[in-house]
Formats: sequence, C-alpha cells, structure tokens
Amino acid sequence: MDTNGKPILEIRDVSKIYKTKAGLLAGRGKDVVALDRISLEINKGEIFGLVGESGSGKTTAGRLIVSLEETDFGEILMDGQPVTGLKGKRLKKFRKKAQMIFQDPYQSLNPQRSILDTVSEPLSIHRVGHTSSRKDRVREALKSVGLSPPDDFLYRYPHRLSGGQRQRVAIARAMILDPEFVIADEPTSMLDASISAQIFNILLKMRNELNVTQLFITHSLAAARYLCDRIAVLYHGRLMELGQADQVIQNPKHPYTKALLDALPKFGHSGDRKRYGTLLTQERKDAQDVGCNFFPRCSLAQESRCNLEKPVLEDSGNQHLVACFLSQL
Amino acid sequence: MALLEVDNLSIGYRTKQGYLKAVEGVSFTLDEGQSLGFVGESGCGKTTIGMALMGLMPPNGSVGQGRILFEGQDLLEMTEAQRRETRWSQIAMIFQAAMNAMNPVQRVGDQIAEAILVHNPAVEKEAALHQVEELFDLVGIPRDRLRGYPHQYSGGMKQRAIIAMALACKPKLIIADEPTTALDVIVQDQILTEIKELQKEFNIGVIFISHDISIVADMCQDIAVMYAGQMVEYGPREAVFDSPVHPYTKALLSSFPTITGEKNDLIPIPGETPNLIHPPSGCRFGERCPGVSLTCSQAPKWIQMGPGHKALCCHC
Amino acid sequence: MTADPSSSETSARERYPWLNSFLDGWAIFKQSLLGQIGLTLLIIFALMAICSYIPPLINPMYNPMTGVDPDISTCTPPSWRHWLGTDFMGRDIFSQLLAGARIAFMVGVSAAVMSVVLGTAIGMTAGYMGKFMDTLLMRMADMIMVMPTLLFVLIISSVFGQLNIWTIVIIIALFRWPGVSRMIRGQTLSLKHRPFIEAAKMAGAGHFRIIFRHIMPNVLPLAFLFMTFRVTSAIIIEASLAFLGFGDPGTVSWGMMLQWVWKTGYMFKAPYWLLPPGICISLITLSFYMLGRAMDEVLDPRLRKEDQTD
Repeated sequence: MDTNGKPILEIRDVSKIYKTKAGLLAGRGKDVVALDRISLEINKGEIFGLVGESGSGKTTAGRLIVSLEETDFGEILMDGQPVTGLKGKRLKKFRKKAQMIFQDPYQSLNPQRSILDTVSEPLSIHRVGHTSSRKDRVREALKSVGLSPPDDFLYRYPHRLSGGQRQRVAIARAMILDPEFVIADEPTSMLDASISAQIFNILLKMRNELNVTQLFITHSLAAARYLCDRIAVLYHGRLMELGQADQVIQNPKHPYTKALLDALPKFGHSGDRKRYGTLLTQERKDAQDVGCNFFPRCSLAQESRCNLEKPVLEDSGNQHLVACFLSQL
Repeated sequence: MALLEVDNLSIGYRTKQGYLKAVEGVSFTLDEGQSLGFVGESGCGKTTIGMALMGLMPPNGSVGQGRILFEGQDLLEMTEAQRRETRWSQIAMIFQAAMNAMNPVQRVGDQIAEAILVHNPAVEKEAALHQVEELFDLVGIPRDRLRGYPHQYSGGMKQRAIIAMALACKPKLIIADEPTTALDVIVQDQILTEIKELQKEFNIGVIFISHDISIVADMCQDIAVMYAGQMVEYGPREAVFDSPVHPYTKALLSSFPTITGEKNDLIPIPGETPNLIHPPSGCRFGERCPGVSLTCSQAPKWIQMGPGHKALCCHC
Repeated sequence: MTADPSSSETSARERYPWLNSFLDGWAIFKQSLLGQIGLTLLIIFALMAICSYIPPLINPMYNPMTGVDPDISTCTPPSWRHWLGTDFMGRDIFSQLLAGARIAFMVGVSAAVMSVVLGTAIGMTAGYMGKFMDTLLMRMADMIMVMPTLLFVLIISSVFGQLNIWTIVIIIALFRWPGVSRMIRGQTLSLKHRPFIEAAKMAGAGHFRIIFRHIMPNVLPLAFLFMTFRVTSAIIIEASLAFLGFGDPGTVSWGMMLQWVWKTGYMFKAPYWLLPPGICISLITLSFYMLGRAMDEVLDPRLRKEDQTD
C-alpha cells in the first residue's frame, strides 16, 4: 500500500444543520443537526471508510466534501486549498480533482442520453480533446471498468444495462478526468452480492493502479473491513471511533461500534437471542441534548458524565481514536 | 402430513420476447413450525415462488406444471374464492418493501383490523381493534401508536406493523420476502429476532426469502439456493454453509465480505445470469462455472451429499 | 442485446448523431398502432389542406369564399359538379372543407407551438430557479389560468370587432401557456434533485448546460404531449369562436361552416353541409391525440414496448 502519508483532505470542525421551516400549521420547526463538529484527515492513496446507519450524516459529509452543499461551520481543505465557498471557475477546476460515485445506479445516469454521451460529458465540459479523441478515452474508461468490448456499450441507453453495468458506467464517468480523490457513496447498496464484489475490486484497482484516494461511505462494516485502510464510525452526526480498519473491527472500543458488531448475523450460528454487550433494549427517556448522542441506548453509560457532556475523539493508543468517557478509564 | 409440499413447480411469464421460464422444477417440503430459507440473487426466481404460494401471480404469469399442496390440498386447483379464503388466514406474506405497502391515508390500526375483519366478518370492529392492540404488544409497537398514520412511523416500526398484519389472522405459514431490506443493522436484527420468537411461540412455518445468505443462515433451519430459476442446492443450514457443494453456492459465499476470520479476496462470479427465455440446455450455471466440463451440457441430476443435503450438479 | 447494424449504417449514424436518434425514433413509432392510425389521418388532412388550392384553379366557381356557380344560388345536395353539394349562397362545400383543413392546421399547430414553447420556458425557469422567480411566475400563471379563455376572447372581439386569424392564434397562445408551465415546472422540480443532475454538476456543468442538456430533454416528452393536446384545444377554440360568429370573416374554417349552416337555418335540412365539418373537427383532434400517445413511446426510452416484460 503506497500511502504517501500526507493528508490530501482535511475536515476541520465541520457542522451542517438543516433548518426546517416553520409552517402555518406546523409551528416552529426543529433544526436537524446532520453533522456536529466533525474533524478528520484522509491521507493520499488510502481508502478511508465512513461507516454509519441512516441518519448518521455520512452521505451529508460526502456531499460537503465535493461541494454539492455548503458547510455551516468549519472548513474543508483539499491539498491545502479550501473547498468550502468555491464558485465559478475555481469550482470547475475543483471538479477535475474530486469526483463522486452515487448510490443509486438506476438514477445517476440520464435516461435520455447514451452511454457515450454520459461518459464523455465531463470531457466536453472541460474542453478536453475533440470528438474522436474523446470517444477513444471513453472506450479506454469503459474497458478499465470491465465493460468490454466497449463498442457494444457506447450507443446503448441506461435502461438496457443491468444495475451492475450502470454502476460501472458511473465509475467510468467519475474517473474519466483522472481525479485524485473519489467519494463512493454506498456504491453497492442496490446491487447483488456477486456484483458488489466486482465493484469493490474495481475500487481497489483504482487505488492500486492509479493511486486514487477514496472515501468509501457505507453502512456495512464487513465491506469497510474488506476495502478500507482506516475507518471512522459516525452516529447521529458525531464521530464515535476512528482508526485502522482491522483495529476498530477486531478491537472495538466504543459501545456503539460494539453494538453494530453484535447486531450482525453470525454465519451459521443459530438462534438464541443475541447478547448485546452495550445496547439497551429500551431507550432511556431522560436523555438531554447536551449529553453524548449514544447515551439513550448505551447500557454502560453513566448519568453523571455521559448525559451532561459530549465526549470528543481522543487517542487511546496506536492512532485508535474513541469518543467515549468510559473507554478512557 | 407436511404443512407445505411443493412438487416439481415450474412458473413462467409471457413477455414480448417470449416465454420467460422464471422457475423450473422446484420441489421442497415444509413441516409445521419449520423454517426454510431461499437464497439467490435478482432474477433467480425466489420471489416468484413466494408469489405463487400466495396465489398473487401477475396477469402474465402462469404455472406451467407442478403442484402446491398446503395441508394436503392443491392450491393450484383451487378457485379464486377458495384461494382468497386461504390467503392471509392460513398463509400470510411479508412483502418486499412492505414499508410502502400501507395505505398512507388510513390509520395503521384500522388497516390491520381490516385484515382481521375481512376473514372473520362475525367479529366486531371493537374486538378487532383489541386484537390489534395485542398484536402490537407482540411485535413491540407501543399501543398508543394504534391511531397513527404510516408516515408517522419509523422504518423499523412500519416493518413491525407489517409483521403484525401478517400475524393478524393467525396463519400457519408466513412467507417473508426480504423483510429487512433498507433497515439499519440494529433494527434489522431486532426485527429478525422478533420473527424467530413469534415463529417459535405460535409454531408457524416460515419461508424466508433473501439475497443475503448470512441472514438466511441465521434464521432458517434449512437452506435452498436458487440460481436462474432452479434450485441448485438444498440442505440443513450447517451443511450448506460450512460444506457447500454446488459451485454457485461456493461462489456466492465467497462474494460476501466477512467481519471475522481471514480476509480473503472477494471473488466475483464472471459473466452474467443466463437468458431465461432461451435458457441453456444442460447446466444453467455452466458458462460461469470454474469447473465446467463436457458433461455439463447435459441436464444435471440431483446428487445426495448427506442426510437431507443434495446438490444439482453434473460433476460434484 | 445489441443490434448489429451494417458498417455503412453505423458510420452514417456516427457522423450525424441526430440522424441516429431520428431513425431509432421512427422505427419505434412505426410499431405503434395508434401512431399509425393517427399519422395516416393526419396525412389525409394534410393532403386536404394542400389540395385546397386546387379547386379554385380548376374553376373559379369552386372558390370557397367567393365562388359562385352561375346555375346554383342556394343550398343543394351533393352532385357530380359539387361533391358535397353547395351552401346557401351556392358555394362549393367540398372546397370549403379543404380550406378548413388548411386553417385548422395553421391555427392548431401555431397556437400549440407558441403556447408550449412559452409554457416550457417559463416552467423550466420557475422550477429550476425556485424561490422568488418561481413564486412570481407561478402567481402570474395562476391569474391567467383562472381566466376563461373563450370568454375573454369574446370580450376582446366585441371591443375590437372581428379579429384577424393570427390575432386569434396569439391570444390563444397567451392564454394557454399556464397549464403547460405548471406541468413542466413540476417535472423540473422532481428532476432537479435526481442523482443524474447532481452527477452533471459533479462533472462541472453550469446552469445553462443542466437546463438545456439535462432537464429539457427529460421534459420535452411531456411538452410534446401537451402540444398535441393544445392543438386540439386550439382548433376547438377557433371553431367555437367561428361558430359563435367571432371568427375571422375572411377565412373559411370548419367552425365558420358550422356557423353558416346554423345561422341560415339549414342545420337539420342539409346533413351534407352539417356533418362533414363536424366530423372533421372530431377526427383531427383524435388523430393529434393518437400521435401524442405514439410520440410518448418514442420520446421516453423506458416506455418502449420492445423492452417491457409484460
């Protein structure tokens, strides 16, 4: 693994809040805190996994990094340059560096445009090459994601392709401008297992052969373990744990991470009710907003600290960071 | 007498391009209180089997041959009226994406009560709602949500409501088709545990359909692996899981990343699933099988591997 | 499942991408029964419109407005000289029918095209820009939509006297764009947040490119469909106006013919005069509708029958 060690992406204290509008009949809306002061760094050449369930904010994080949405607080830097607030020409230049593969291959390709049109669009927007050289580049891109022979696919429309093929087209499109950084937002959640395996291997190839740094957003710890060098666990907009993938999964320190691992179906081992080491069966009713996000469901939590303050990520040794008062005991 | 006995079932769909053989020659039995899982990827026919058992085939679908014997009676020979009787009161289904199967403008409690009333017209609405309250207790929904609307329920809660609806008429058999897709891992585990407990408590037979082999292995005593409309392996969970025989089962197992144990390379299966309008003669997995040989061009036969464990393969 | 075109066909398609889409579209259109019937009927009407220039050339007495048969000066049934007979002034009904086809096409198509172009542009702008622009445009649309078109045109006619046919066309267009814009705006709104639009943004696309290359093509099928309905409503409005006596007196339209047959009291006495224009109005609106249905299949790749499994 050829990580140059230097961070290519820095996220500093980023928050994103969605305000719900107060309606005539609805009364004052409650603001939703999608991300709450997230900080992390991604190194060049690594595949970094962001793991969380629905509502964790992981997709929002991805969208902020590629500037599809604006942060409310904090800053994001890529190669030392701020990403937040980019507009116009500078935004367009940024798009050549950072790309995204979307979750739903059935929706991320324009149904009215052929594969050739879709994959060559970034080239024509950035005025790279001319019509015939673009077509050659598209052919190369399709071959590299396993759609061979590429001429079979150039003039087809998305609805004639399977989900796995469509996702490969999406990857080809994302890669055609040779970006340095690619975010894959749950790229396989709509695909079957054997097709997902093909996609994972393409992502690995991208890193191994082209040194593309990747942020892999997923709800599956198993997939994160397979693909990622380091992972971070997100819960309700806050980072709970961060470290080497094997470390975090083999030796989880945060009660939430432990609960996620406890919840996984154990291959072939049967059916008594699972023993959760850290999850309560009923949520606590007395949780306060200022306390730890996981407090309502945590069986290890202590009223005295966990409900009064939010823990921050701290190194528990070996670059394995945990945000939990109890793990620091 | 077995609760459910399916004998050489073949189902197809009429399409513009021809007759699509979605399910071919599937046979299995299910006893009372037993659980059987169908595992396979999209297009393998597992959902079609579920629909056929419920008698809910779309207009262009038809059963080519075979019998479905429920408590000795052939479901396929029944009239539509008889089938409606059986449906829900004897055999219930938890549909895929069931979360969107509820009427958004009707209260959840009322919808479930309706299911009860349709099959027991003698029961009063009040009594039906009382039964719904008890069902809610069973599946873990707070009673005060009875008068809520579907959009007020969370994803996990909606799924529980669907399970309550399936149980409403105390069926003998439940078909669960991907009941936990789109749910978070922790909620998924809770729902699956509920299903397991309810199954034990009421001695309900369960047919569990999923693309996720780890869930099926966790939930069911027996597993049937489906590929391209055919059952390619069948056996007790431990046998199919720990010592799979059919090359497809092996390939399927090795395409799931694991949490524990060795980190092996994920080996994707090359090629695409075969065209079911003109399926290959001989073994349908042949084109993609690493061990393919000349014998595979003939129709494969069932090979018995152990007690209750068999595989449909030419050269295993 | 790829078609295997011969090499010469491939190179033609490659050189002219628009040719490719057109040929594909035509192949699909040909398969639709509704499209075939609709197109056939429309071709018949188009031929009628073109042939409307012929009768007066043969013999001035066949001129629909001014033609006077020296021997006939009243309403007569069909004969060899006058295939559909004559109206109360002795003018040939058949040539009037042909001229009416010409007017129907002119009015129908022009008014429809204008209202749809206007409505699409406004709808896309409102949907994409959102906020203030959206509210402004949609409130304008609401105000116009609640005004009864026919009534207003009648009022304008009574104030300004008999209207020129092109004025009628423009007024119809100005009154009918709101319906289109509402639908287009709704479509735009739902498209705006779809992943493929975000993917286009990720590729670096600016607003114009997104609107014209991504949103518009997805919105065009709906717009085309609307156009076919607008044609029918434009023709009917013009016919109604003419029937009520507010049409352009210098033109012979089917509605005008109906007005004459009614006003002169021959409505129940001369079916050969009453029925042809009425049937033509119905048939032409039906054929545009069928055309719209067939075009729906062409323009939306997902609706194509060849790819459906049931």
